[in-house]
Amino acid sequence: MKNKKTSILVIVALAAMALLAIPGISEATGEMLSDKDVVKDFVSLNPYSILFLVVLGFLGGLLSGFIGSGGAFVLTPGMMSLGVPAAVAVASNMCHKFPKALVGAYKRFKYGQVDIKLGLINGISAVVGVQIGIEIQKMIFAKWGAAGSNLYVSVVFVSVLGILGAYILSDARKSMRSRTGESVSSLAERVKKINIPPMIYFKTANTRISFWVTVPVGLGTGLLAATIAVGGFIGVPGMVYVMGVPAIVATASELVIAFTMGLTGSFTWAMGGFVDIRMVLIILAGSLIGVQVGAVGTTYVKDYMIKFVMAFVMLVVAVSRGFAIPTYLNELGSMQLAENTIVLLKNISFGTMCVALLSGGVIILGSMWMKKKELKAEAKSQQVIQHG
Amino acid sequence: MATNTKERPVGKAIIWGIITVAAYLAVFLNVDTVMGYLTRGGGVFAVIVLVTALFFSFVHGAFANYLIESLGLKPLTKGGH
Repeated sequence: MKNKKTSILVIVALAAMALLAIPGISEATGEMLSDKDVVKDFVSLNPYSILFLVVLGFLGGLLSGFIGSGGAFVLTPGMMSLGVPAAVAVASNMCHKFPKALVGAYKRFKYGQVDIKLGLINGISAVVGVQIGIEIQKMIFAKWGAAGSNLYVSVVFVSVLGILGAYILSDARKSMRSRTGESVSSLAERVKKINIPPMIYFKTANTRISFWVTVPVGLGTGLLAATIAVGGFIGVPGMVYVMGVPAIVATASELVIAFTMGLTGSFTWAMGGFVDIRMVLIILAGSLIGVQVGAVGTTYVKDYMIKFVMAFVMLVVAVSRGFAIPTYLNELGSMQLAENTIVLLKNISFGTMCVALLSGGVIILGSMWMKKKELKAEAKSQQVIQHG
Repeated sequence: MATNTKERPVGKAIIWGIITVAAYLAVFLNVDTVMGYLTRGGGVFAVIVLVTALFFSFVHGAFANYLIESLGLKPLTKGGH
């Protein structure tokens, strides 16, 4: 009976997502595309660009496997730096995202970290959030054009990621000092007391909360996905600090949301023939290895380390987008900048994003290596004791 | 705690590695034909694009799994915490 109920829930959730998502999710680009951006042109790839995409894919995958999202923010500008038109870059990024999220989710499901019910329920409201986000974007685009839209995206990037990143960083430090290495937010404690039916029990997350609490978290995830293309930067903190879900389960369940949003979005882009399958497969060559290393990495670290990496990446990305703001103000006529300065700011912005990705990767791999070293030393000392 | 006592799946990594390389070669040696069809758009070709991505995620995903296990990178705990 219970199984039957779960199956019905899953089917209804999937059907709702498919119906709601397909018409418009492809516009969840992170940047609104003007008519001149929607060019279907496929660049030729040389060994340098192939290596660049594989490395970018690996680092993005590593981050996604570890914190449930990320990587996508640098792949679209990364492809565009190779001369790929914006629409093809967005489409190809999205099409590489869903198989990567699937592999990551499966891997972390095997470790008992994924709460499918949580992922699906949040996924439904995230899809609605995406639609709201698109409407807001369209409104801004109609009023202020592409520069206004990009300025809005950058301001959201800087403010949301700056505030949330700082909060998560301070919480990670608090958790680091606690004996268990975990902390429960007081907001989550209060939220658990809200008793408005239907109440839902999430087994893996081990929490029982009202459905109505999940709605704003999912909406926020979708809204951010439609605005900056990385919904997980609000979805994961939302699950952790509002719903009281452990960071390890929240980041794993976020991959389920990323899969559903990526699948439906990719379908729409592929309908228009915008997906460059060569680039998708080249990025996957790196990202499918990265996502699994990142997933394994979550079993090597405490909860606070996941929060720390997430906060670090969010803050550096916020700084990176901060560098892009003057360019858009210049385009809107609110600021006067020389052409050289614009190019310099764009390069600094993209370079900082790459630094965020690279540093995130170094921190993840570094903490895994340290833990391995620690375990080896422990095993060695135990052997000495036994022989001694 | 650790699952390091299990043997390293080098053989499986090699087999899936060969399958992965073959799949990549099949696409990239016929890249013009593949791109010609998969950028046409429309329902059927859109589904083929998604199936191709899923196929590679399965094949290359399996290879990547065995590769990192062969390199000794295995999960430390079940359930993570």
